[in-house]
Amino acid sequence: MQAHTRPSIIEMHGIGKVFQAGSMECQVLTDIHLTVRQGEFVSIAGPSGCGKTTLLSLMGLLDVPSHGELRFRGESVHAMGRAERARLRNRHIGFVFQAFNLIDDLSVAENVALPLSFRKDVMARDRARRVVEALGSVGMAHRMRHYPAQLSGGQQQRVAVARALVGDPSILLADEPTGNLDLHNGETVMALLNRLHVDGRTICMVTHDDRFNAMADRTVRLLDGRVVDESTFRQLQSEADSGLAARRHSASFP
Amino acid sequence: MSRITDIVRFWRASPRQPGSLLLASATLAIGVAALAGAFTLMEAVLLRPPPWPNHANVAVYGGRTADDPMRAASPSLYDMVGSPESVRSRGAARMPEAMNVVYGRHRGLLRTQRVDVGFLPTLGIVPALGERVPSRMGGAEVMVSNALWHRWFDADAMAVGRVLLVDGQPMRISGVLPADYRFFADVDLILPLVLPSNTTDRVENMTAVALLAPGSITAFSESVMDTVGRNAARLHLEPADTRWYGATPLDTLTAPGARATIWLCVGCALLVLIVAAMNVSNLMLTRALDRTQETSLLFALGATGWRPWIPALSAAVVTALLAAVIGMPVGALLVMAFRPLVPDSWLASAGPLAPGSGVLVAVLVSVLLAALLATGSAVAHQHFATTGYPAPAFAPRRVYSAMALVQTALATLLLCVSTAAALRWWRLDQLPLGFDHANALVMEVRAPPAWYAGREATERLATSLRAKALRLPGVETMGWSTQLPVGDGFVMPFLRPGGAVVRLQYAVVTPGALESLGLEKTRGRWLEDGDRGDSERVVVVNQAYLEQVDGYGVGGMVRPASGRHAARIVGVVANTPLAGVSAEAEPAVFVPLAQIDHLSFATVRQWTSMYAVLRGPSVGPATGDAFARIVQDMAPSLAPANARALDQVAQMAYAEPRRDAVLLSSFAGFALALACVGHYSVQAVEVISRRRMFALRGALGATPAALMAQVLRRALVWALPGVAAGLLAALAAHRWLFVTDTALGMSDPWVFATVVPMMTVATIAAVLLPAWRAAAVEPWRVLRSD
Repeated sequence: MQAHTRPSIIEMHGIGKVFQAGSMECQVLTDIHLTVRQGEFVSIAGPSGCGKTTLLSLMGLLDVPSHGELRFRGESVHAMGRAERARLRNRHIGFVFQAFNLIDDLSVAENVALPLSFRKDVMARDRARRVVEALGSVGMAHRMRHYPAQLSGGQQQRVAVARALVGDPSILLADEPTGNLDLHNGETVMALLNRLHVDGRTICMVTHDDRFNAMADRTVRLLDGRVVDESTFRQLQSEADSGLAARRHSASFP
Repeated sequence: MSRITDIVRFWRASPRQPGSLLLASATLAIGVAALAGAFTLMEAVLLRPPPWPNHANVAVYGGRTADDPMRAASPSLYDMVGSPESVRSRGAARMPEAMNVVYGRHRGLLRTQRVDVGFLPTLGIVPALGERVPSRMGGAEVMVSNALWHRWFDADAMAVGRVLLVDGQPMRISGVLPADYRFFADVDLILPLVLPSNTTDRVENMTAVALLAPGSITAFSESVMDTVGRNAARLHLEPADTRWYGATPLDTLTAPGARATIWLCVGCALLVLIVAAMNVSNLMLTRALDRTQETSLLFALGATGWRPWIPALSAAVVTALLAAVIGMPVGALLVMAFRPLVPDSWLASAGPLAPGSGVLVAVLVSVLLAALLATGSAVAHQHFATTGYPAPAFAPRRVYSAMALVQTALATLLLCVSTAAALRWWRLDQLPLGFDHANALVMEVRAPPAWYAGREATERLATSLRAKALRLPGVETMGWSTQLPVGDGFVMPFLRPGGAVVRLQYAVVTPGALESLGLEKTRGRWLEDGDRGDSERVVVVNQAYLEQVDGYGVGGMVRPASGRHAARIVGVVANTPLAGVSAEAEPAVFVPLAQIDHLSFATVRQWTSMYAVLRGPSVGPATGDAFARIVQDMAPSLAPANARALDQVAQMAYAEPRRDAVLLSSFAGFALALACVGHYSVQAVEVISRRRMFALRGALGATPAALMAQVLRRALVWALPGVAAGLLAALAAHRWLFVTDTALGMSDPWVFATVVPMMTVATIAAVLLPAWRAAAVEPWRVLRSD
């Protein structure tokens, strides 16, 4: 099947996000048009503060947009309440966070089982099997009785990936999954995500590491809350860098 | 920076962050209020020295009963005992009686007591003004109580020497009693009592007191027993009865039956203070967590000794002082609110029931101790956090939760006690009172012998007043009785069928009285106008008479122990709770005023008033006023008093179970409120400290309802073992928890069926806000800031 004919998981049309800070309004995202189709590996790139994480939180139904239309698996999320969005998240979205976000007083297996604990349709035996499978898929089945504090950063992130996979989600959202890892562990985790993609998983990942962007099918570039194409991005980035250099220069030689 | 500077810095910083300090103080103030109330009651009833300066060496002598430790003496016995060698002085006081008193525009039916010349000196009473009564033998003098002196004379020192009309007799005021004087009852006037020597009066209606040489109480008591033994025949006593005679130290007779209830109140108040201290401990711990970095820095910079703990200790002192400032007035208000529930017999002194300096010191010490103990967990946490000792990772959270558990257990225990008391009250309330107390009004009238010399004169007055009362609008029946369905009455000796003496409640009534009192007739007929002095002598008895004295019923005979006229039973009425709903029914006889012999009538009228009872569908206060005017018109010297609905009389029957239920429920309410605050604070801290966990669960698909349920579940997990522990403690304690003389049914399944849901609902209600906050956590904000 051609990529563009696959069913879409996420569709964003004219999405904007405004934050209210007292009497001040802050426009974080403006007029975003984006579609993520099944089986795609999309990376979102951009400088700090450009709105990458906000965009990911909208895609993950953690927040709702201020403007525009957001559809998840063909359904508009605007009319959905918090509980319905939570149920969609639980069944169709897997999260991998930069800071791992494992619960310290739960074992590895219990952490991985957490998303299944919110579902009534998964029996206990089935839950245990799926936990073992998920941990096996990231190579961590042998550490299932350990606690997060007993694992390295890379191992913790692999457990977090297993937790994201255990519910067999439609899409995996990863927010800077290598941000807290050293080079070696970062590459291991990226190799894992890449393997999952090859196996057919839909992945959307925020990163500012160009090496990892290259693994994605396509990269969405964000700048000041807008999606820009590659050439525009490079140009604006270059202008911004030179402007900064000029300002530095003028500061040195008044 | 010195230690002084540390303290000054804390004091300067406190007003800038008043919230936690005020919250801690207000929480502790609840415990202070409960403790101040209980201590005030204990101080007034058990600890305050009685208002009799010689009390330590005074004994009360005479006979007593198995149920009542108070002794009574007859003039005859008083005369026989005389003054043995060990007696330094002695005196006697008659039972209080009501008298019509007039002074200028003031008129009232006042409580009076006759005392002999030795009574007040034996007790060591010194008048606040003037002289003791009687200042000279045969003098027509009275002493007025301090309260009456203020009420009628505006505390005018010139009141001494003025003349009152007491039952029509002019009597000069010789002095004013001290403000705190009372002798087991409040009286307005003290009148002289002249006891003839060699009297044969064997009616035990006096309290005889003797001032003894130290250590001679036993010898004196034996001497009294000896005298009674030798004169048993003259005193008309069976040999077996003499064992009830002797002497008892005056101090041991104060506050009969009060100790158990007051100790229970103090115990409950201490539990409330402990629960409050636990809450404060949680708050202190929260503040300590905030200060961990500062304390660590102080240690790192070389601070030693107790200096790093100065902020925590200063907070404890300030919290305790503020709690005392807030809690003491609240405690005083509580005492004022509960004053009507405290039986007069508990109070030896007429002084005000207010917290004194002793209470203030005791409360201050207790609250300071509680605040310092509450600070202990905070100091311990800082110690762990700063000295390198390996503190458990979740120690503060465990301490919080354990405290919530203990608080729940204590609140459950108190709730069990109060629920048992409330259930007992409710059950007693369901018992039939034996009379219809609606639509009736009673009013006290005393016709003194000086104006109404014999039975006939009193009967004529009663009949005339009844005829006029029946013409009042809305009055259907009216009658007179010396006994109300609830309350103390007059007791007379009668003979059982076998000849043994039995004491019966003895009421003198007119036709219409039993119907007006709403008594329930079970057999026979009422007393009627035809039951005259020249017709067959008849009586009505109650059901208890049939059960305890003679079961013959209508047609049977009632025989007075005096051997005077026997009477035929013509009717039987249901029992009424004369001594309250929790007491066993007492046998009673109702005798027509027209048929009572003159000697019995003279005895009865001396100690009891007559109660006019008016019944009708529209009888109310206006009827009382109208009847009072009729009395005034017909007998201007009489002062009808104490007009009240029969409903109010009926309420007296529940006084004891109501008092226990209200007092204990108040303490339980405090404890429950504090336990709720505890659960709230624990879960509030829990939700704040675990925001990331809630956010993560939300991100992974937990619905808001699931997040709320998690907090509620967690609170219940800690609360339910506390409830179970409280129930077990209640079960273990139920044998010891006595209120007055009736055990509370702590093992009653209804107690558990009430307390468990109540605690569960209270816990859920207490943690709803933190649970809602957990559900409202926005995952992406929390996880992003992380």
